[in-house]
Amino acid sequence: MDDRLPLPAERFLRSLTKALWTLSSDERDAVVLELRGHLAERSAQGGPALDQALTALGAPEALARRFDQSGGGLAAIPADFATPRRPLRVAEVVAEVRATFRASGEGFLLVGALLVTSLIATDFLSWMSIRLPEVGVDAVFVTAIRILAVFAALGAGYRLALSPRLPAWRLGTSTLAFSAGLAGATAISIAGAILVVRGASAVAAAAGMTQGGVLAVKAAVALVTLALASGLLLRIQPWLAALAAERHGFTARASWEGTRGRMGNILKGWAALVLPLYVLHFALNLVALKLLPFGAGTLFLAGVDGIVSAGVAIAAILLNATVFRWASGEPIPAPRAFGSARPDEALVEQARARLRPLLLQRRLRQPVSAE
Amino acid sequence: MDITSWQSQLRKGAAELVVLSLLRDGERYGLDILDSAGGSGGVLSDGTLYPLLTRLEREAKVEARWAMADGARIPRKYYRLTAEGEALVAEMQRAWHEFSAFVTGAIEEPRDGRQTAPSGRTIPALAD
Repeated sequence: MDDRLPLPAERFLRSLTKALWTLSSDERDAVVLELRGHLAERSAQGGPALDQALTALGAPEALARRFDQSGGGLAAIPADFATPRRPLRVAEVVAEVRATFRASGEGFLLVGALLVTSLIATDFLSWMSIRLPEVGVDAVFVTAIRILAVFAALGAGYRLALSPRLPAWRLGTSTLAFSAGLAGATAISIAGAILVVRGASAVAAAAGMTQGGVLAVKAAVALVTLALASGLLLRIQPWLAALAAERHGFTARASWEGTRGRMGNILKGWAALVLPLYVLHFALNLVALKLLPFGAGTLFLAGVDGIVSAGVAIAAILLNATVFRWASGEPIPAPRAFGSARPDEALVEQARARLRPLLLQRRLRQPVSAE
Repeated sequence: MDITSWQSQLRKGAAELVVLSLLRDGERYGLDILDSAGGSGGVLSDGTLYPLLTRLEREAKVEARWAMADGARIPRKYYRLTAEGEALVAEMQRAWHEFSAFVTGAIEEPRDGRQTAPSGRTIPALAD
């Protein structure tokens, strides 16, 4: 489907999409699609007609402000035109992830705090176990603590992103199911990759290849297997997110089928949001383990890496939650209201009821001024 | 004297009536509504129509469906009146006729220094 319009119209629609961030994703898509059709028909009438239409529509930001923000009641657009169905630009994927964050419950600061503190501590201790083995830090224990903290943060993050009405921090069956699912899927992927790599190197050796050739085959097979395993893991991430967020109707099969045809968009999201941080995390580990002498600098690197790794985890949570919505066909809700939200009427009335006697007492204490 | 603001208020009030009245003839999509309204004296423009249609749809005065026209690459959103919208537009048209008759009567050229509103109530002529 090629429905691209002349550049000024595309720019207008891009700005309008940004300016309509207060709407849920399905309503925003509906408004933008209707205006895309409007501009396409004007464009077909000739350049001047399109220019006139753009002038008549006015500034995208002003137009966006005129739309009723109350939500609900709009006809759903045909599925083929919904955002996740079509190939998205990287900026559009990032905008979807940002919309997921804006619609999430409050509490990501705590998720970030848990991740940063636990990752800094476990980074430093695990590096110490490698660089200074004589200290006797138990690497297995440190890794176990790290995994527990990350799983707790991921579970809370998915609940905040997908089920903000649920308590984010709790150790229930959903957290256990999510943790078991993630650990199992990761273990199966790694075990499968190791078996494939070993098998490939055995075949290469049996074929009479030199040691260098066997190593090259091993490296190539390892890379391909790693890419395939990562792809498989990406396709079940929405299901894992659903487990954590107690979206019981969404199965692994639904995750698999829902991500079909959307891997391009998913990979763009990973490439833009997760991969750069992951590469930085890898580089920091390399410097800490191979280049820098162990000392105060290592502690500083652990601090930086803790923040970077927390960024990886939070980006992954938000991206997987966004992909869950794409795969399940659920729109990204309108953003959660911040401090500007209208206060709850019942709470205001309660506050008034408490204040009234106080104000009355104060009035009674005031002396009556002489006329 | 600048009457732009006053004209803007007039247009806002009339735009809803124009759109609902055009939909009385059957379902239409946005561009069709705009073209049918013609110049519409500036009552409707590209920038006012779509927010208005969205509001009317949210308020269930109109309902919409998406359909692909022959040879089109982008679907159109067709609007039609709901039962509530039908009743509303009938009421609005009746009120508009009364209102416009009153206003027209009130602003007619004074013949004897006084104007007569259609209701029979006389109102003082505007001072020069």
